[in-house]
Amino acid sequence: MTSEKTWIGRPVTRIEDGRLIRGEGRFMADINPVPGIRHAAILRSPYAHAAIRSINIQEALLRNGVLGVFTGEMINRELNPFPVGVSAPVNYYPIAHSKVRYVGEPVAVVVAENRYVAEDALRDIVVHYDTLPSSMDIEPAKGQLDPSALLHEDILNNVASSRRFEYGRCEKELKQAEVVLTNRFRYPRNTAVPIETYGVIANYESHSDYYTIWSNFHGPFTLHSVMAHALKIDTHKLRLCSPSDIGGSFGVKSAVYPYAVLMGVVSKLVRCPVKWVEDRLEHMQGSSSATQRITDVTMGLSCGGKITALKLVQYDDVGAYIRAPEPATLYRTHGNLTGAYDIRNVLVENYAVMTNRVPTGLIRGFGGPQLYFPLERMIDIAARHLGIDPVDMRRRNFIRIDAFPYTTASGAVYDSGNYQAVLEQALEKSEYNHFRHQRSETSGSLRYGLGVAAVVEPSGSNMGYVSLAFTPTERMAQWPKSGAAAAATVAIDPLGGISVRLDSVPEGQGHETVARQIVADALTVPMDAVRVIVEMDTATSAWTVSSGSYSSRFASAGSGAILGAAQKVRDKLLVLAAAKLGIDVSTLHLHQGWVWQDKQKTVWSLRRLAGSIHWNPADMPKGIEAGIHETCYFTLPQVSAPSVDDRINSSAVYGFLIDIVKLAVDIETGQIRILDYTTVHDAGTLLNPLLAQGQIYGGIAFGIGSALYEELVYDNNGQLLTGSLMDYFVPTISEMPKHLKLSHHSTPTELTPLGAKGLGEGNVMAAPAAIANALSDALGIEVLHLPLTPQTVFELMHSHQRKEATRT
Amino acid sequence: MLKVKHDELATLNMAVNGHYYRRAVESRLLLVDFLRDELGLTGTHVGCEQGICGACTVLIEGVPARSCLHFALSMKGKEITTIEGLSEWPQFPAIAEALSRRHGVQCGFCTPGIVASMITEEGVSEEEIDVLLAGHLCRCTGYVGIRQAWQDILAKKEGK
Amino acid sequence: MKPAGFDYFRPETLDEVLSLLDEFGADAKILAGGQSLVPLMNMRLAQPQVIIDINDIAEAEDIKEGYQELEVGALVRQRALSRYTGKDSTWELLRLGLGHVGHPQTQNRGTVGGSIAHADPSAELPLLFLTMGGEAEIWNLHGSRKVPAEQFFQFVFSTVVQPHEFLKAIHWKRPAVQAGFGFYEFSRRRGDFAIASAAAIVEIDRQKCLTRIRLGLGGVASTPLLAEGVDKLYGTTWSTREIEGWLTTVRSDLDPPEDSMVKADFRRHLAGLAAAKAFSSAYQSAFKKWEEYPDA
Repeated sequence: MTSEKTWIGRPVTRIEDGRLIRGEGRFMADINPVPGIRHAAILRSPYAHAAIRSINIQEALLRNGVLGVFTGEMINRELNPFPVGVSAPVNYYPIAHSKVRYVGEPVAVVVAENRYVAEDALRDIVVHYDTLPSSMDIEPAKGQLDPSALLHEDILNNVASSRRFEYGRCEKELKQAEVVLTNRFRYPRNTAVPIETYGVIANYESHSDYYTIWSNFHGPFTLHSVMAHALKIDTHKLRLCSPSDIGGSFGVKSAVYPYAVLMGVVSKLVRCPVKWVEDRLEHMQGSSSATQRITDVTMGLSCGGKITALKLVQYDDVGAYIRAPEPATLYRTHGNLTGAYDIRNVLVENYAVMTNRVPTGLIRGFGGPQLYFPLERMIDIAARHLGIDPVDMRRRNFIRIDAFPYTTASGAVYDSGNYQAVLEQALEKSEYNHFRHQRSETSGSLRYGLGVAAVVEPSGSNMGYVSLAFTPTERMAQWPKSGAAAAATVAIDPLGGISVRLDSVPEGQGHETVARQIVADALTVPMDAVRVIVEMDTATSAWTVSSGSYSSRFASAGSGAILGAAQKVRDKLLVLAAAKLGIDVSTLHLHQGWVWQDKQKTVWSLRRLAGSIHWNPADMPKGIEAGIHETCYFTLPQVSAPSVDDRINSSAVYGFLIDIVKLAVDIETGQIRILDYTTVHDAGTLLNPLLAQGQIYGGIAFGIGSALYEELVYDNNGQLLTGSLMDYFVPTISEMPKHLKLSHHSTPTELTPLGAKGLGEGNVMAAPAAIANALSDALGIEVLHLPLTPQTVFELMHSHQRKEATRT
Repeated sequence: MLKVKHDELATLNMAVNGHYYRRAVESRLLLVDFLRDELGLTGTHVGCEQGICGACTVLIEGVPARSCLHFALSMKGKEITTIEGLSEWPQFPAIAEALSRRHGVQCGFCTPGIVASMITEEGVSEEEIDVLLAGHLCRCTGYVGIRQAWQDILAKKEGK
Repeated sequence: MKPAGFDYFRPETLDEVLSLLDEFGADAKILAGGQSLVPLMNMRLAQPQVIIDINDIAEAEDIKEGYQELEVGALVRQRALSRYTGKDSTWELLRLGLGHVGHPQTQNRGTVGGSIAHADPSAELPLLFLTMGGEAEIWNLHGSRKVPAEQFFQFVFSTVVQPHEFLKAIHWKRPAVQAGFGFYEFSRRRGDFAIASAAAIVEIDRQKCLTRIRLGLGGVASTPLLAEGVDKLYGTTWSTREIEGWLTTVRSDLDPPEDSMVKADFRRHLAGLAAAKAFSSAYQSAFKKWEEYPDA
């Protein structure tokens, strides 16, 4: 064999950059794919909970330039409610009729010649509301709620879903444990804030009842059937398209789907294509957010620090409607609830509670930060309680290297890892021991703290995990759901031009570049010989329910599909070459774009072979089709449906990371400065280290935002107080630590063809925990909620001082 | 004195990227919407319409400013430069190369605005880079690659 | 988020501006840099019927330095003043404060006069104007008047400038040569409005006795505030006990606003810290000036 210079694994710069830096990207707001587009604006509820008594649209209809005005009642008449992922009777529509349930909920839609006029007309609509008491508590009421505070009739205490799972003998072990510790943690509502907002163009064709909807939706495409159901059409009548460029999402744009349906109906009613580009105020109020979660953690331990049992009671605030794929935030991490630790006795109680806030959904980390903030804080609390160093505490409970593949109590199969080695590397890289000694130093009002977090990072979500919200009996009545499949198509045109089409719908991750690396390697051609098409079109792309961009699934699933499709092309070319040459295919391989027989170049180039398929199909050997357009659907068989005893391998593969933070807190001002941030990842084989680095830096920034700055704050009446970028604080360069150290330790997985795992979400899961641990270390006060704003730190110290004062 | 009623269109003459344009506009039309919708220069992006995010940054008379906070009509007779024009500037290739090499671009939505700031601020120091970059929100990169790219360009200038 | 319609006027002379203001009064808004006004219009929190765009008023563009004052016209951009004050330590307090105003990209267009006329109590320029002192030059169709900084601010977003009047220039009072300056601000991120801020000017004599103190506080009330009780420190040298006592009174007299992010007691606490930090930097810088130029 001739050794090939391969592209995979190299820090290749991105092909996307050329167009994006020049402003030649094509984002939703930039495209006008059909003629005659008109513009929509949405009237939204100013109240968190109110009955709609009347809506008067007459004035708005008379305004010059207005084409149509549609109320929720007029729109929802055309629709079914969206299917939801629980058995509770929640009727969720894309727009309110009869009752509003959160501030920012759509109430009416105006279509006009341009957005300016559409917004003018919103002011002409008169709505009379009867306000109702808002329900803002996440923890379900102990008694029965007043019926007026119920969001949906017939749903007792606003609990949309609850389930209890016990693995091993948790209750018993907790009774017998030498030490039992309990704490309540709160993870805040925060959101993704991509710089590009939602955008939708909908075109309804009355002759065929077809809907074509362009949007910056990026999957999961399970929601395609949810949308078709809502539109009361067969699924083939719904064509979803996403442009080549999406201006960031971090999950939040998966929830553009109700707006896609809304604009679909509006297009039908107004009889022209309709474009809606969300503005920033709409985005903060009415798009989506992470769940806020209260977690009651009870941990049983031996005096030596071995965790014997873990009980988690999790209350998720899913907002006003439990919108699909919720309650997925509760289940995405179900398999890896025990994190990096060998804990066999686990009890989980999950509650998805509806409140008068915007419905929740995918936000980078999805379920991870909500899990690891309490879990990793609890490890530190236990360590302090037992007088053990927090690092030692982790060492004592880590899954041992010889235990892989390791099956967790709740059913995840951790494919590979070496947690001890990653930890040691992180300790060394961060100079942990050196800082540890400096920790007790103070300088004026500054206190220094050191914090560690260990995170098992799931990637490639199992489509079956959401069905854990149903009981095994309920599941038996449904078809089983599983898998983490992805699709890709590689084609060669008549003159040898190579293209690859993806189903991954990227929004900045650089999939085009990596796809090019994979295909160029498989076909032994230069990278610029490969064109990558990332526009999604459900009418012409190869796709399946799990297609899309979420759960860090490109490295774990998408890359496998691309490689598989390229290999199908390669194999077809080699079989053809073998037939043409009359020799055994096993002696042939591709090298530098030519077919070689062992070390001998043959007369067949890839280009000529592909050409012969197109130009001379009559001369094809038997059994080979006349065309070169090969699709691969890739999935991992390990990602199976939940078992009857409620165990689930909730993700395809599991990476690992350690974050170590050194920070200074000013006890006078409550301001925190991160002095040094170290992260060490094990994501198996890195497909492109440059891009991996970008994902990690971005993840750290995101995690710092969640830890210190970001929260969607609602008052008791359900009014959103952080509705603009002036009061929802996204980190700027000034908030980023200057000292960032990152490195990798690679334990390739055997489950994915390239040995890769996802890594884009780990730091979002780890940073809040690591920062909170460091602050607790600095102050000697246990941090139980986020974000750690100066106000929070100030209150933390004052309540502690009061406690100290009462103690003495 | 120019007077335009709210329901009238006024003639607007403006130099954008060295081309002269003449269009009839409403008084309330924002510069960013004029550039994107009237002139088709979609490289300038709308992120917040509050002047916070910086995605819509263009050059007004050669200095970076938010195009969402200006009325097109108020820019009458002014010279505007958008990313479509900046990408023809002699300094542009070095900036593009540095941003790509340092992986300072992910989704690319904030990038044209950042380029507008990078290309005009001559002789900045490392501290000033942070001050200037703080006027742009990026949610993808954690700013690390952008800062490095900008520092590379500064280092090159100083090397000369 | 698109602004409502408005009648647009682009006067070319001061007289035209004043006539328009006389005609439209409260229905009109002056558009200079637009960095405060246009966001409000985009959100339709402001819907003026008339916009008077003053960007062609050449006489409002100048920075003129005199013996007593620095005259800054209504159209002078914040960045231009920032660059101007960078050249000369006399105006160091302005330079320090301007470092916290928004971002270079907004300073390039935002005007000094616009920010002062907007009168956001947590913005830096109103605080600087009150602390440094000076006069606002206000015109109407019938003439002009000058209002001292101390009487300029009335309430949140409200000043003595009447609907038919035009804030033509700010006359910043020239500080004494030996004055020391301090500015301190707490905000969540660089460029954000202040949670609490303080600006200080301290003058001491040859014997290091305090002779003049101006301590302004931002973000703690409906307007920027000047600390009271400074005169009892005059004639005394630095005494930590005295000064802390005074600052404690200043702090406890505050009745700051409360919002979702910052409770009143914390804001009061931060304002006290900002005051102490700004005052102490100002004192130190005054002290240093005497050390460096004992003959000044």
